[in-house]
Amino acid sequence: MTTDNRELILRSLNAALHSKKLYPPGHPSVAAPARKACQLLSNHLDDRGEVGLLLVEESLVFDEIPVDNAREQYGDLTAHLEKKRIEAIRFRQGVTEEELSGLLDILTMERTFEPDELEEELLRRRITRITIRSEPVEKRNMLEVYNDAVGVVKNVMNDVRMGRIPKSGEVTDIVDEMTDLVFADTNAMIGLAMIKSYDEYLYNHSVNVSILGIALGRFMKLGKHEIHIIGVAALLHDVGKTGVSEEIIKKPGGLSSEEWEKVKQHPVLGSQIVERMDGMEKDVCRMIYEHHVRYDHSGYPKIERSIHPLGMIISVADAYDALTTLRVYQNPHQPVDAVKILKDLAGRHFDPAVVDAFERMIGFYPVGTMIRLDTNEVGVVIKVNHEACDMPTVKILYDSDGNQLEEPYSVDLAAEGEKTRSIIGVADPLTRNMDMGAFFQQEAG
Amino acid sequence: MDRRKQVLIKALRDRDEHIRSAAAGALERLEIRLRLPAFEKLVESGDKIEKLRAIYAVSGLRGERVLNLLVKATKDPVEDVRAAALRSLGRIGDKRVLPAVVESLKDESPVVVRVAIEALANLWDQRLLGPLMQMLRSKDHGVVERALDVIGRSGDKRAENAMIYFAVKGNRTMRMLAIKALGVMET
Ligand SMILES: [Fe+2]
Ligand SMILES: [Fe+2]
Repeated sequence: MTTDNRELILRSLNAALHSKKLYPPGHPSVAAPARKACQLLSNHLDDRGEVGLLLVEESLVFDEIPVDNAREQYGDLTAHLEKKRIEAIRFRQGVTEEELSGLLDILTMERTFEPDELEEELLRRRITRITIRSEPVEKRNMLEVYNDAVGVVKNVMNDVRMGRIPKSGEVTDIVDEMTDLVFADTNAMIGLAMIKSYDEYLYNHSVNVSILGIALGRFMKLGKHEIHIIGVAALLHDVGKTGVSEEIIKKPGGLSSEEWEKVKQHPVLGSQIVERMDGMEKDVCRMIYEHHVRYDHSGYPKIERSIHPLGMIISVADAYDALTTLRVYQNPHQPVDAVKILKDLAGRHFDPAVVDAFERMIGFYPVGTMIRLDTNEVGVVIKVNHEACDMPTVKILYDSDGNQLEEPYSVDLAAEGEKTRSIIGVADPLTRNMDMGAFFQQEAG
Repeated sequence: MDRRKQVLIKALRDRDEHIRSAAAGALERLEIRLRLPAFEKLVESGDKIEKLRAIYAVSGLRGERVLNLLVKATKDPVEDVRAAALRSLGRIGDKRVLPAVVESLKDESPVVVRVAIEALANLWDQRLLGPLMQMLRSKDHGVVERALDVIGRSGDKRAENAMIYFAVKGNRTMRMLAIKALGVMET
């Protein structure tokens, strides 16, 4: 194969990709260079059997020879390979025009693919003489995802305040990402749900309820789709509060009857907002509409029908996050006490079965509980132990004399040799002027 | 203090589970008390959240020093801090703080006034009727509703005329409160 041929192939591929940005599928400006690339490639493959197009440390290698100035000459091609995190494409003898145009389609698709998904996609398109090797998408740091989720809620609420219809894509994507992380490390995600914001309560609250809802859905072994709609509905459950004045929202607990009537409209307003968002499921709107309807049908608004089966998951998660947050009218409840309150309200406000599942999921000493050990050391629960509920993993923050440790360390109370330490009671982070959210932020970072 | 602490720490390993948890609770309260100077400093010069944390941290304790700290916080420049302090004083229910809470009825923020009235419900005293009746003239409905509630529950006959007025003229909530009050009031 001559240098010219190699250049021609790359140029044709690049031209086809470039045209795909500008013209509809099947347009001659796309089809012609694709066909040309295929002809040249086929001729060459008859000689060589197989050819590789590689992206090695940001430079292009074609047919075992590095390509000079690839970024300038074949900008579209390199950009697409990079965007899809593709390390190598191999073409084998007999490759058809359909296969090549299938490859171009995949390269120009909006979405990203995990390596195994790429394989599936090739198979689905019956492309057998082209293989692609890609790098797995790097999992983003949990804290990044958490903060992004807060940003998404902020954007959604700002859109509503500005009279715009919020975009659904951002919401569903971030819920998927949070779901992956909850499945990967539930404890760490529940720890992040201890991040609260006093002045911008609503944004963090929405994200926390979503995390707790997803975690509970997972614990209850619900299907992927059900968990997804719980996550979405939870993230948007209070979006209707954008319709209530800031002044009122920030001073709950001390409302006049008229102000209270306004706050009570937020589930209805919220479901109306979400109904207008593109592709939002009816179930999501219904769960938002019903999130303050109690198990015994007290609460608001009044409904005749039965409550959505997944709705109670959001109500319980909502209450748990609200109870564990410092508000002007409320000192934050310790997680243990919040669970007790939920249990007291089971059968009236909440579905007992859901409260029961929540209690088992969150653990006897939930992540974020400050505890005192029999050694008089004080620490925070960072990982629940579902087998031995009173022996979680804790991070010791204060020694037995009450001095704050410079280098806190973790202890698995259930682990061998740790039988010498046991939890005696709950301690109060307020006493130590401690911000639990900041602690978990550091743990994740 | 050290001896107290030693005994309590030893009791953390007692054979009796209830003794152990009582010791943990006592140590916790002791530590809050030991940190009182730090809380006083926070209420003096901390940021908003630190002030709120300090207020809620000491609210479980009793005694003059705690009351003084909370009373001080009822004069804080930040509305939320004043409200939280008043709420805590109401919960503690020690009548020594009555003058300070009554003073807060003059607060510039209606939200703080609402909380002050709620706190007074727990500190009820005959002499409160006058100042609370004044509150019925407030433009803020939240203030009027709370004042009606507290006055109504006192059953004091001197409020009869006011209750008759609100039973007819108030908004729905005010009417409900006034009507209930007329039923329980002394004759
Ligand atoms: Fe809500
Ligand atoms: Fe909520």
